[in-house]
Formats: sequence, structure tokens, C-alpha cells
Amino acid sequence: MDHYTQVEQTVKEVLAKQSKMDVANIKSDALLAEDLRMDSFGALETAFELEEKFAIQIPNEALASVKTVKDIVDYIAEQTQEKPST
Amino acid sequence: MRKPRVVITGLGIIASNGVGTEAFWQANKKGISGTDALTRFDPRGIDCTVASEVNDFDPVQFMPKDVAKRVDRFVHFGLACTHMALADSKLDLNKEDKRRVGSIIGSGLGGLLFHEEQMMLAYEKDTLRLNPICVPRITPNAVSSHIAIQYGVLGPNIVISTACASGAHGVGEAFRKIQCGEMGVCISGGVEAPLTPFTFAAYSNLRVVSRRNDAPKEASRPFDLNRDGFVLGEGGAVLILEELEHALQRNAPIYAEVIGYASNSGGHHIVMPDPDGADASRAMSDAVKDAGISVNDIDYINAHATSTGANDRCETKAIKTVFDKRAYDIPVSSTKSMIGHTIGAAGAIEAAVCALAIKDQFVPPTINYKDKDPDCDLDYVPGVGRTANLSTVLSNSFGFGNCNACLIFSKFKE
Repeated sequence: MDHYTQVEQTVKEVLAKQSKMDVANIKSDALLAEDLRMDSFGALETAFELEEKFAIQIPNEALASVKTVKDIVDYIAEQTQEKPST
Repeated sequence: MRKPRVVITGLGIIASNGVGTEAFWQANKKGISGTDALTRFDPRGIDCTVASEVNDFDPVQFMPKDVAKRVDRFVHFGLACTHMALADSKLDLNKEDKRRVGSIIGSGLGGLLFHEEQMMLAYEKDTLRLNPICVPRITPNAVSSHIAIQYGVLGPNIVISTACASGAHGVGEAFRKIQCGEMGVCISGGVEAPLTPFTFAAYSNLRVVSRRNDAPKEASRPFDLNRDGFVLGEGGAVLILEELEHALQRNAPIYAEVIGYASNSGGHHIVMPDPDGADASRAMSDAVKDAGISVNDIDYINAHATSTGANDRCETKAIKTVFDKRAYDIPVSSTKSMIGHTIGAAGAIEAAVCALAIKDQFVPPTINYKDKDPDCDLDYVPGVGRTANLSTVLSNSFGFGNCNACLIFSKFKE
């Protein structure tokens, strides 16, 4: 499994738990607020959990800019990509 | 201009001896204790192991699952009591001007359970990376705000924290605001969920709770010679207070009328009552004056009666100061003998008891009263409740820090 797919799987698992949906029903183009009924507290809780799982920090600006499941996966995949050693 | 009259049109009660008004009232009439050995957590190292727990309560019966998941237990009690009280009042909020409906609730301690859980987790994990929604779960105003959010009410949204008198102040201040025309209806009351390890230990170490661990159902024994402190309990009550004209217009059920309220301080000590009961007697007298009645009109007193040596002695003294020789003819009973001391909920639950006593013309008993204390020599309705002609009744609440509130209720007459 490549890095992006791994991130996608974990993000979808976290979102499924938060929105009480089946992982299979979390589509990449799903809108967080409309399709997953995520409110502001839900967003905070999700961000908190993703930060723990991926050992990253998600700043407010990033949190405010994500609209879809794919947006989150793209952001985290980029933040956690292994950097080539110099 | 004459002040609007205020009536009680709905009740919602949760206590250790009954969830729901009917279950609670029947248990109170029969003198059934809700106190028992603590089961909520391991009381390791705590001298007191008696508590008054609400065990047959499922929050999701009264609120959406998502809300239940994100609020502390004291808010569960507030939302559940509101749900029951509104249904009981038959008030259709969709037909109301919601700007004229308020939410005023007493809570002495706020969201302690969640607070403690997070503190313990922080120490266990050695990190202050706390749950991101700690603040709105812990803050005391969560209860009145969640009620306002769930029911869309837009009037005054206030939490009052006056320790053991919080619930009485919740009802009293709602009464005043309706009298002053600030709103027409108020979801008023008090809630508390103090059965958490740290809080339980803190009350125990203050040496104000009973250590009668071998006989937990007899631990709360107000006015009894061998009383040794109160039993910490949880629960809540919501009373729908309503301007009389509004209640009559919609043909609402009316339990009783709220006719008097007084609030004061003893300015004496952060946990001890004034030994002469001067502030307590002044609060009672002022409530009688506020009601525009005479002390001779009081037919029953629902006492603060915590089962501590000092409170019950001082309260008895204060009742004698106010009522003189007639003090011996007035039935005085203690709800706390059955459900323990529910701190911020107590005054509201006891206000509800007064409304039910008037409606049912019945004085509930003080249970576990066995041996007479020479300093406590009134008619405490020991063991068995009784029918009585109740026109006007008084409810006393005297909180730590000398936060006092007295309420007077009467049988509704047009």
C-alpha cells in the first residue's frame, strides 16, 4: 500500500468513527459538513485525533480550508511525506 | 401596576429514589431512601462510602445521541428534567414568542466529572494535550445554554452558583424576572452531578458527610440525635414557571403559585452557618413579607435539613425565632433524608416537593429520625408522611458560604 492510500484509509477510519458511518460509505469527494454532518466540535475532535495518529500539527488555517475528505487526505499526505535525506 | 402572578405549570425531577415526577413523588410519600453504598467508583482511601446515586437513567431517552455524547452528566440531568417538565406543562414552544422564554438553572459545581477525567488523563499520560472541547463541557453555564439551544429559547440564559442553595436561587430569580416582566415563561431549577472521585473525597475530607458506611440507607438522618453529616447525592429538577395570565390563556395545568422569595447572606463563614441562625430566620421572614402574608399562614416547612449537626440545630433555632410558639405546630420535613444532599439541585428538587405537597395535600416524611436531639424539638414528621390541609408552604435552602434562599408557594386560587 502506498503512502497516500495508507493515509486515506486512516483518515476515512477516523471520519467513520466520528460520523458514525461505515468506512465504505466515506467517499473521497464527500463534503465534511453536508455529507458527514460534521459540526465545529466534530471538526475539532477529528483534527485532534488526526494530529495524534500522524504526529503532526494541523494549524487553524489548514483546518478552515478543508472542505472534503480528499482535502484532508491531500493535506496529511503532504505533511507526512518522507523527505529525501540530504 | 400590580406585578404578574407566577405559577408552576410543569415539573421534571431526577433523584436517586425516582426518575420522573411520579416515581419520585411516590417514593417520597412512602419514605423510600435512595442512598446506598457508593458503586460509581472505587472509594479507596475515602472515609465515607455512602452516596445517593441515580442509577436508572439513560440520557439518550431525553436528548439526541450526539448531544448526550458531548456534555457532562450535570447537563444530562438538566436536559432530561427540561424534557420532562415541558411535556408535563403541555407548553407548545412553537406557539410561543421564544424571546419571552428563559432558562435559569442552579449548579454549585458545574461539569466536574469531565474535568476530573481530563485531569486524570493528563497526569496519567503526562501531557496537557487535552480534549479540544473541554471548555464547553466543564463550564457551569453549559446547562442553561444547552437547554436554550435544544429548545430554541431566547430569553435570559443564566446559571446561578450558590452552593447548596443554587437550585432555590434558580427558581427564585426566575420568579423575580417574571414578576418584573422580563419574560413570561422560565425553565428554572437546579442540577448537580458531584459523584466523582475528587469531589467525593473533597467533601469527605471537609468532614461534612456521614461515615455511617455500615448502614448506608440510614446515613442521612436530619434532626436525629445521632446524625453525623450528609450523604452526597446527584440529580436535578426543572420547574416551568409561568406568568399566570399566560398559563390561564392556554389552559395549563397548575401545580401551585410561587408567592414569595428572599435571598440573603450571613456574612459569617465559608462553610459554617451562623450559630444563632440570624441570617436564616431573616431570610424566612423576608420571604413571608415578600409574599404579603403572615407567619401564621405557613402550613408546612420543607427544611434545608442536611443531617449535619450544625445546620439542623441552627435551622431549628431560626424556625423558632420566626414562628415563635407556633413553630411546634408546623410540620417540618427533610427531602434530603431520602435522596441525600444534591448540592445545586437540592433547592429545586425541594421546591418541586413543595408544589407536589400542595397539589396532593400531603406532607412527606423525614426518614431515619429515631432519637430526639434536645436542640431539635419540632415536629419533623418522623418516618411516615401524612395528609394535611396545605395552603401555603415554605422551602428553605442555606448554602455553604451563607448563601441563603427561601421560597414560598401557595395553593392556586383564581
